Amino acid sequence: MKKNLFLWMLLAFGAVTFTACSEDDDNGGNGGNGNVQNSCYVVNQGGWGFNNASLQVYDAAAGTATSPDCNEDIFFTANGELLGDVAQDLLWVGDKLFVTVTNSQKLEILDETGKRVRQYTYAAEGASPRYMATDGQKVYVTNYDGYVYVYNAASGDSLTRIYSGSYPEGISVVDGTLVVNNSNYGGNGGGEATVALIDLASGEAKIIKENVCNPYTQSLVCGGEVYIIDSGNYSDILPTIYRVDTESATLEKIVENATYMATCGECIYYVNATFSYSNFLTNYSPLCKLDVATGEKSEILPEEAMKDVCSLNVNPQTGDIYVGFSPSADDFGTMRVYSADGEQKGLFEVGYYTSGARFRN
Amino acid sequence: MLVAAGLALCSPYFCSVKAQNNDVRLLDSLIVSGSSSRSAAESSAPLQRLTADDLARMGATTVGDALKHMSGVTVRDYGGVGGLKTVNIRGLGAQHTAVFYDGVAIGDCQSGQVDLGRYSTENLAGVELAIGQGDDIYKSARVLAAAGVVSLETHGAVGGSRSGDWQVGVRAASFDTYKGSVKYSQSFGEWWGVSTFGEYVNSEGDYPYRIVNPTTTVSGRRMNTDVEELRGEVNLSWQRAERHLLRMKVYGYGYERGLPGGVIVNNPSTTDRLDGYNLFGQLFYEYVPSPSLKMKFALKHNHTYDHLREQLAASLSVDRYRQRETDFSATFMWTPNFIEGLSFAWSEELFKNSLRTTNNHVSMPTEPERLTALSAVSARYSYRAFSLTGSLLHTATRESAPHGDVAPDRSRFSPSVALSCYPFAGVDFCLRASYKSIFRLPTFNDLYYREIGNYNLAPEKTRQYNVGAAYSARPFGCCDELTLSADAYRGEIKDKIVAVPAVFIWKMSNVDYVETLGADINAKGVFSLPSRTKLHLSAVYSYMRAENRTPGSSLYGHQIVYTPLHSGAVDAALATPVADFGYSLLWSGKRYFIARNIPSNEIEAYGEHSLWLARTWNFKGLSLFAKAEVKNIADRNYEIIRYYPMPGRNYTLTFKLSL
Repeated sequence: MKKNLFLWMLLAFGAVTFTACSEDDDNGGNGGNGNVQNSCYVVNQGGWGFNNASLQVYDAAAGTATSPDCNEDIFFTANGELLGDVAQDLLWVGDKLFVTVTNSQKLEILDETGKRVRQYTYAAEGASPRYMATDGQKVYVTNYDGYVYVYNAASGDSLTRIYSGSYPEGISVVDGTLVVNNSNYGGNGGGEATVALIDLASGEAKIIKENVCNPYTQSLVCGGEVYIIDSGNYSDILPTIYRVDTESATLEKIVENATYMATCGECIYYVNATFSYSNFLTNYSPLCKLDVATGEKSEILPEEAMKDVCSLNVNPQTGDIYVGFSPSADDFGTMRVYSADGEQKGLFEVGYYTSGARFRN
Repeated sequence: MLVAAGLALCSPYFCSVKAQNNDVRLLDSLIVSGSSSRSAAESSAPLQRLTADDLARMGATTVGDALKHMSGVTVRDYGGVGGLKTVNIRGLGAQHTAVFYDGVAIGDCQSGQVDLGRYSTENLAGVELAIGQGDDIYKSARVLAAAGVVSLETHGAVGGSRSGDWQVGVRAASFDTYKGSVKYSQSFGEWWGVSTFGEYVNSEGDYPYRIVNPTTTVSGRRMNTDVEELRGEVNLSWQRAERHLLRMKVYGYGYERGLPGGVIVNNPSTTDRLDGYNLFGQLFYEYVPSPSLKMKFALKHNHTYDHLREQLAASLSVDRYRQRETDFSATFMWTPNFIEGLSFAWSEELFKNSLRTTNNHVSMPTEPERLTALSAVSARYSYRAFSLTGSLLHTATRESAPHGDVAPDRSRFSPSVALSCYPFAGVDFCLRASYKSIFRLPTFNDLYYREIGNYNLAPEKTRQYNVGAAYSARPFGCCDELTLSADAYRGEIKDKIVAVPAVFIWKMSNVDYVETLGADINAKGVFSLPSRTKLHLSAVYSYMRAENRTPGSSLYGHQIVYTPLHSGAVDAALATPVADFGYSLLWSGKRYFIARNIPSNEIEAYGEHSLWLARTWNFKGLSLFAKAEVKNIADRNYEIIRYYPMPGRNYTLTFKLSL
């Protein structure tokens, strides 16, 4: 049981920013939370086994956020019950929110107030939904049972499921192809860590194995191409951003030493936070921006500002950068909002182990 | 300096320590000797004891349940027959509590905490809790190395008749729980004695629960809670006059159980299983060559195996943990004739722990080993009403492992001192003060657990200060016994070892500083009433403020998790010629399950009320004892650990036949 707990803590905390925030995927529009350009949802995992996942709304114009407390968050307020255990991801599509709650083994489909529209539970199958992507018509949800579950984005109807590989995590969809990080449960899954390229029309899959060590939670689209982070082995294999060549089914190394990334337009924002055995501390890098079109790199924020970083997102409408921080396992975190050039514009409290901010697709 | 040098010489193995490496985790064992039947007023440090009669009265089936009736401790109970139960003394953490079974340490170097739910009270003669530095210096070094000690004493091999004594017990309880036990003891000749004990437990344990959140209720029935346990031991003793005492013990315990886990919203399913065994044998010898000199030696070997089957979403993960420990200790006590009231003790202890872990999917090549040498010198001087005790302990460790990085070797001195005073001649009233500085080494999980472990962790240091008073007497006619004690304490924990988020994974780190301030009050009395009736009363109360005092922490000043500010217990029993009746209350104030002290992190206060009725029939050399208990009569839904609900109202019937 102790070992189990450790492993779950490890995996649960692996929630990183996953948001299809590039303009390629954005379907725009205004929702029920005021000005879309100035609102976002924040999804907080909560502690493993504590049933204290929560959802917040942040109004950037007013600089205010709803409560991060699981007993006061928008889900509880709208439904009168707890969201559950380990909310891993949130996808905002049209006027609906898709929320994966991994340890509660369910997918919640909500309206923009947080009111439940539909719920899918997977406890009977022992399956745990993880991360999501959308092409505007359908929502694709990775699940630890090895499949990608497909839902109608508008109605929430369950459509089908597609086999991907061992313990799928981060996912993107581009040009009719699903790109899925098959994590193999951090090496504990009994399978193989791969990146799967699944053609949605034919159902055929290409499997990338070369250079793949630990493809984890992050898979994003930038400039029409998919970028993933392979988290390495937390030792001598470093976390690295790769570009996925869907034609040749290969990975191209883009940035080494990057644990979190976000995309906006033609740019990738990234930061590194890695535990180092040289000083037995977590070491942080500056927040940087890479223009994938020109290859130009620039520093946005110094490394001192990145201490305790745990999520990174960019609002595709405004270009504002949302950085989540979790300094303690026992306390709420914070989220800072910066302009594209690094000027702080906002600060608010978020829940335990925030997965980050989510914007409308 | 001389003392320090002497200690260093006593453990040459480690004095030059420098690293090699190593790691591991493991179980321990060790020897403690001596009787612990002294009253609370005879100790310079808080001492609480429950006898076999006390245990029977309060209906505690496991040691974890029994310790809930003591002050200064919080028992983390995950609920149910198979639920984990660990004890935390004065907020120091379960890893600072050493547990001894007939003088044998039963720690666990993998996690550093002992599951007290695994130890039955059926064969126990007593349970004792000692906190901090006492004035009994004739102890093994490993006792001195702990912040607090829980000692479990069995009936052993002493006291059986020449013809042999049998006791057969059966118990049936709610939720399909059944227990059967057999005890046998016999004396041979003038010096030999033998005893055996065996117990089998089978429980479904699938009790209903209801957890109330601010406005919602989560309810259901616990799943995957079945438990099957078998334990047994054989004891052999040889005692010749008052000079020689030899004891041998072989102990075995096997189990197979489900792991129900915590209640998860919308996800009731759980299928994880755990099985394993624990085997140990020990040899103890004490020799008293003269009134001024005595010595004792102990040797033990322990082997523990745990097998975890964890059903993941798309695969089965199988872990196997094998721990071994070999321990040897030698303790000497000298009371010189030329200075009255002066005694010295010297104890050496050497033990080796190892851990081997395998997983069906992941290579876990680190097989850590730790060799630990403890050397302790102690002195006690008593003059008139005063008694002064001091000890200096040297701990040295050497770690190694065939693969991977290992923790540095450690070498450290730990002092302690205690003063007691009996200010009133002829009155058993004691004033006491003590100080103890001790530390705990990181566990093998802390150091080497895959990706999470941090082999550079520093030991976690503690300082304990205690002042108190104890009184024991028969103050008036109908009072057969009255014991009162009150202690105030302060504790400091530096470099507390905690898991810290470190990007995708957690990392064990030294970060927190915790200060505790508290008070324990104990009262116990036995009163004779008319018609051959006796009233047994006991009450304990604890106040414990244990706060995070880490400079710069956002949680500075917050009470640490699972530590109630107020807690207590009351036990009352009325023994009449016809039958015995009893009442028990366990009470705890609110606690927090996450360190941020906000309402949504609170666990409600609870009180558990229980009643029992017992009678014994004697005829023709046979004795039949019957007892009926109703626990949690108010059917109160409560949790000790968040989302691990405790059982509601439940019933137990017990029968014991002795011949």
